[in-house]
Amino acid sequence: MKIVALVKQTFDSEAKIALEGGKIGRQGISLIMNPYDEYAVEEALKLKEKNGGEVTVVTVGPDEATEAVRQALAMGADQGILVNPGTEDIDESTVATILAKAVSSLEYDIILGGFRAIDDGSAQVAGRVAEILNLPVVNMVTKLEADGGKAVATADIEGGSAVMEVPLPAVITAQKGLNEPRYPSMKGIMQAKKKPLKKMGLGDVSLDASQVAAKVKVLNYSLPPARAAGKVIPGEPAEAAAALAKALREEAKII
Amino acid sequence: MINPSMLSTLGIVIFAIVGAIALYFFAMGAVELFTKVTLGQSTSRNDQLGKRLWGTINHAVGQPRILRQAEGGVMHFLHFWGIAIFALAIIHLLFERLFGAVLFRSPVWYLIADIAGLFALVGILYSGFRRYVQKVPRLDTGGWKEERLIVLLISMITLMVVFYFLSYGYKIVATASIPGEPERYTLAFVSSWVASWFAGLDPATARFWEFTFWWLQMIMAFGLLVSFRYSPVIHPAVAPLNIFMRNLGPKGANIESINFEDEERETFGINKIADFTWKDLMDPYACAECGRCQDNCPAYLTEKPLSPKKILVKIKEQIEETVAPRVAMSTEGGHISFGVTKRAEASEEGVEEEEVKKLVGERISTDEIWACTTCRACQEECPVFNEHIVKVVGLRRALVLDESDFPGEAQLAFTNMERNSNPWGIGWQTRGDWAADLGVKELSEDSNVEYLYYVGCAGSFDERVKKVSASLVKIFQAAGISFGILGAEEKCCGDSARRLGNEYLFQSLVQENIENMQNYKVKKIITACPHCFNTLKNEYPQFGGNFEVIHHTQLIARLIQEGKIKPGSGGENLKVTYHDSCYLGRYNDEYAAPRRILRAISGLQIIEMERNLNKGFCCGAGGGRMWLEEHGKRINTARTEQALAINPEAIAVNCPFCLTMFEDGLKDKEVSETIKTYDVAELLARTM
Repeated sequence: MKIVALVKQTFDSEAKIALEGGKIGRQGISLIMNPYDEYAVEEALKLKEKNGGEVTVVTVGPDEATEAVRQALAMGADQGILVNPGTEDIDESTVATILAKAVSSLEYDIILGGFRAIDDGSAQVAGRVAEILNLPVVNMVTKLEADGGKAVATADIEGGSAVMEVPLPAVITAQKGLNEPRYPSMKGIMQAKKKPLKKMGLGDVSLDASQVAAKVKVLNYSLPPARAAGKVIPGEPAEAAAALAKALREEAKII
Repeated sequence: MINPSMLSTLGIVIFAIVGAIALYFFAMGAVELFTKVTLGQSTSRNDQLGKRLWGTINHAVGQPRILRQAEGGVMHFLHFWGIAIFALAIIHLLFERLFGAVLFRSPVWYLIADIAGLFALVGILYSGFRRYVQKVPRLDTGGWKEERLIVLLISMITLMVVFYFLSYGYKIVATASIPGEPERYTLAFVSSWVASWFAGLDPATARFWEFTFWWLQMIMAFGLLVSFRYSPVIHPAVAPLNIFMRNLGPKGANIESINFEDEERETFGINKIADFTWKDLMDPYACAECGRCQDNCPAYLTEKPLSPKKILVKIKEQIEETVAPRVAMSTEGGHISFGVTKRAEASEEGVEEEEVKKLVGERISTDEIWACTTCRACQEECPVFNEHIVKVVGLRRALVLDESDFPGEAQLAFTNMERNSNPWGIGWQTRGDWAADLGVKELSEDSNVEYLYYVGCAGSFDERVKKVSASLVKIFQAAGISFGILGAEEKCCGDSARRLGNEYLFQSLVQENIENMQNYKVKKIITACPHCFNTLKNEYPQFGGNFEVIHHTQLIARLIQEGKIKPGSGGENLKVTYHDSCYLGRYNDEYAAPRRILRAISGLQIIEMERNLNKGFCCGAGGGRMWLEEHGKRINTARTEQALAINPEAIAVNCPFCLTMFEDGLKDKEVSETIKTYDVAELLARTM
C-alpha cells in the first residue's frame, strides 16, 4: 500500500506569541509537527504495518520544516519531501496547490493529513488537495480501516459520528482520538538520518510563483487581550453573593 | 609408629578418587560461572584495590549490614564464622588422616573447633527455623523447586557437623589409652560430651565408628563442593568477590552514559542477558535471596509487582535458561581442554534468547520495571552490595529507546521536556517569571555572581514550589549571597528523563545546560531540589560539566553556622517531623544539614519517624515516577501514614517532589487543613 501523509510544522502550543512589526514573531519559538498531522502519520504507519507498503511524508514550508519531516521519518515513515515555496506570503490555496502537485508525481493508494493545523486552524488544506486531485475525502476521522480498494472511516459529525465507505485512493483527515502517536525509538532516530528526504523548490514540482500566489491577504494581526487577574469577593455568604451579582451585572455585564 | 588415625593405603586411594571427583565438579562450576558472568559487557572494577580489600574484609568479618537485623544477623554470623572455622578443623583432621600429622595439639584448638561446629550447627538450624517454622516473609523463594536445594543444603551442613562430632566422640574413646592423646581433648566439650555416650566401648569398635562417621562427614563436605555447581550455595563464594567489585564511584553517578555517536550501535537498552555488564550478571549469584531489599522497597511494601530481590532472581533464571553453559572436560591428542557448549558460544552473538522468554516484558514484566522509584533503599540495605537500580534503568532504556513501548504519561513528560524543557510542558519563555518582582538577577543581565541559583522545573513552574523559591531568595538576600538565575535559559536537569530510560533526551538537556553554564563561566551552583542537586553534582561531570554544587539546605546550614543568617525568634511552637529525601540522603549522605537548620529555628520541636535517615521511605516520586500514574496503594499515602503515626503538626522536606507528594497524601488522609508541609527553607524564612 502506497501511503502519503501530509504534514505541517507549527508553533508549539505553549509558545509565547508576540507580534514583531505587525507580523507573528518567530524568534525563539519551539516548532513542532502539527499534532493532527502526527495522528495522520501514526495512522499511515499503522496501515503500513498491517498491509505492507511505504509511507511518504510531504510538507510545504521553509527549510526548518525539515525537522517535522525528520520526526515522521524517525517514527517510521520511509521517505520525505519538503517543498519550499520560497516566500512567506502563502495561503491555504498556495499550500494545497503545491502539495497536490508534489503528491501527483507519487504513487498513492491513500492520502492522510490532519484535519486542521493548530496555528491558523483553517481546516482547508487536505480538502483542497482532494479537490485538486479529484479524490473523495472523509474529514475528522476517529477510526479507519483501509485495505484493497476501499476505506471505511468513522468521522466526527455534529452530535455523533458517521461511518463512511470510500473507494481508494482517497483523502482522509485525522481528528484527535484516531490513535496515540508513537514516540520515536533510538533506532528510528538513527535511521531517520539516513532515509531519503528530498528538498525541492517550486520549479522542481513544475510550478511558478504566479500559479501559487496567495489569494487571501492578511491585513492585520492582533493579540487577544491579556487575561485580567481573578477577583476574590470577601464577606459573609449573603453579602458576598449580592456583591457578586452586582459585579456580574455592572462590571462584567453578563447578567 | 604409624598414627592409628591415619587412613590405610586403600583408604587414601579411595579418598583421592572421591576428592578428585568433587573438585572436578567444583572446578567445572567455577568455570561455568565465569563463562556465564563474562557474557556481560565490560565495566571496570579494579581501581582502588586497597579500599576494595578493606571494604571486603570489613563486610565479611564484621558483617555490619547483615547485623542491622538482629535475628537474621545473628543467624548469619553464627553459621558464617562457624562454618569458616569448622572448615579449618576438617582440614586439620585431614592432615592426620592422610599424613599422620597432628598440626595443633593445644586443647584450645579443639575448643575453638568445637565452638565453631556448635555455631555452624545452631546457625544453620536457626536458618531452617526462620525459613520453615517462623516463615519470615522476606526469605520466601516462591516454590518447592527453589526450596528443595535449600533444604538439601541445610540437611547436608547439619549432617556434616553431626557426623564430625560423632566421629570425634568415637575418636576420643578409641584413643583414650594412648599416651598424650586424651590431653588434646580436655577442652573439647562437645566432642567429649558425645564421647561420654560411648564410654567403655572397646577401642577397635570405636575406631570403626570413628572412621565410618568421618567418611560420612567427608561425603557431606564433598557434596557441598559439588553442590556449588547446582545450587545457591554459590552465595558464600561470590558474595566476597561481589563486595570487592562493588561500585566505588559516587552513589549518585552509578548510571553509565550511552555514546550516541556510535553509528554501529543498534540497541541502547538491556534487551537480553548479554547487554548487562558482567557485574550485573555476577550480582544474582552473590545474592542469598535474603530479601532485605524488598523489606525496604516502597514499591514492594505498597503491593506493587516489584521486588528488587525478584529482579535479581529473574535475571539469574534468564541466565540459567538461556545461556547456561555446561562445561565438559575433553581430551584431544593427550591435551586436556575445557569445551563450552555451543549454546553459550551462540549467546555471545546475541541469538540465544529466541527460544525462551523475552527478558523485557516476559521474564521481567513492564509493571515491575516501571514500579521502581530508584530510591536506593534496596542497595543501601543489601549486604553484598548488589546494584538493582542500574539494571532497572537499563531495562527501561530497552523499553524507551529500543522498543518505544512505555506509559503514555511518560511520553507526555518526554515531549514536554523536549519542547519546553520542563516535564509540565509550560511555555519555556515563562520559566523565570516567578522571580519577576523579587529583585533576582538573570545571568544574561549580569553574570558576575558567585553562585548560579539553579531553580529547577518545580521551583519555576509549580505554584506551591514557587513559594519555596521565593523563600530561598529571601534567605539568600538576607545573607548577602551574590547569585543569579538563568531564567528562560535554564532547562530541566534531566533527572526524570534519565531514570525513565530516555538517555537521549537526558543528554540533550545536559548538553544545553552545560553549554549555557559554561558560557556564563558558572563555577558554583545552588540547587533547591535534590534531584537537580544529584544530577548536576554527580552526573554532569560525565559530560564535562564540572561545577561545585550545593543543596540549599547545606548552604543555609553553613550560613547559620557562620552567623550570616540569624533565624528570627518569632517562630511559633510547632512539632515537626523531617522527611529525608532519597537523593539528598541515601544518594548524597546529607542527613545532618537540614536537621541543623530545623534545630536553629526557635519554637520547633523535631520528632523522627521510624523510617528515617538512610532507612527513610521514599515519597513515591523519584525515578520519574512523579510523572506516572500509580495504581493500587499509593506510596505517598503510605509515607504520610508513617508520618501521621507520630502525630506531627507539620512535615518538613527538602525536595519539591516530596512536598507535592506529602501535600497530596495529607489531602487523601483529610488532614491537610491541620497539618502542613513545608520546605526546611520556608520554616526558616518565615521567622526572618
